[in-house]
Amino acid sequence: MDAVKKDVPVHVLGELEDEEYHPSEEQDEPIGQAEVDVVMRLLKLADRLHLQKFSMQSMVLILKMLWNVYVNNYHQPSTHYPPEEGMEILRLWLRCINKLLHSAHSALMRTHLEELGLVTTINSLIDIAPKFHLDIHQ
Amino acid sequence: MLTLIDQYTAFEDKPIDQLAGLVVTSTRDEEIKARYVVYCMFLIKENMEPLLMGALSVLDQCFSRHSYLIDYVDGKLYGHILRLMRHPQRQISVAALDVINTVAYFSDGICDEMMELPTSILDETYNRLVYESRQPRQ
Repeated sequence: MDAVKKDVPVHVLGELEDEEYHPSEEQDEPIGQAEVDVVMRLLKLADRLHLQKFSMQSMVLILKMLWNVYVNNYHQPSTHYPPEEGMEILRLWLRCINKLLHSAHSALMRTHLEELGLVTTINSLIDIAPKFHLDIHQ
Repeated sequence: MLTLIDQYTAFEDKPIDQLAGLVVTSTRDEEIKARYVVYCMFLIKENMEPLLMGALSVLDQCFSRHSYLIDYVDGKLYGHILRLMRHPQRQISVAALDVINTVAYFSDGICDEMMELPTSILDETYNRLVYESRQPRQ
């Protein structure tokens, strides 16, 4: 982990290790479609590389960002965003969360999910995922 | 070098951005497809700046539709793709990310060259393409 931290730009690590960092402040910041596209590409690659080429700090930031994008853009009754895009985000998000919850980073991941108030939601989603053909184990 | 360039003279009279369509749809000859791939790798290795975007696009489409072409990838290509992920032009960075993502998808992300990528590469790309763009301009 230390080796990973050494390579991560200080301004990202600094935020997470600094107690002044407030994830909730980030939730209100709009995120552009171009940024979502890049985040999705990065997360897919991270997933394909078995989450080994991403620091947990960046991973948590990205997972929080994507959750906010999903909730604000896709999980709305009157949304004009294509549902299949939302499903792709949710599927990738769940798969990464599930992997992390079963990894050495489980405790840290659970803490961040608790911050988002998502522990119950995640457990439910992981339970029902197969019913919606969300193969989160691949 | 001259020999290599001579070998690909036949390709150079075609705009690189038209090559992808030719390769994936019109050309049935596997050897020609393989030569296109090698040609694009050559352009990337030699840093043929105006043609980089086209070369990356051709590689991504070739690998997406004809995954066996990944077998022609020289392991050193990953180093060059990595360099392009750090390219100052955002679209080239994203195109390089697409190529490596596609290769990771079809090779299950476990090839040795892929796992030798620097641990910080995804953090670095995230910081440059997403995190920094979200910071308020000075």
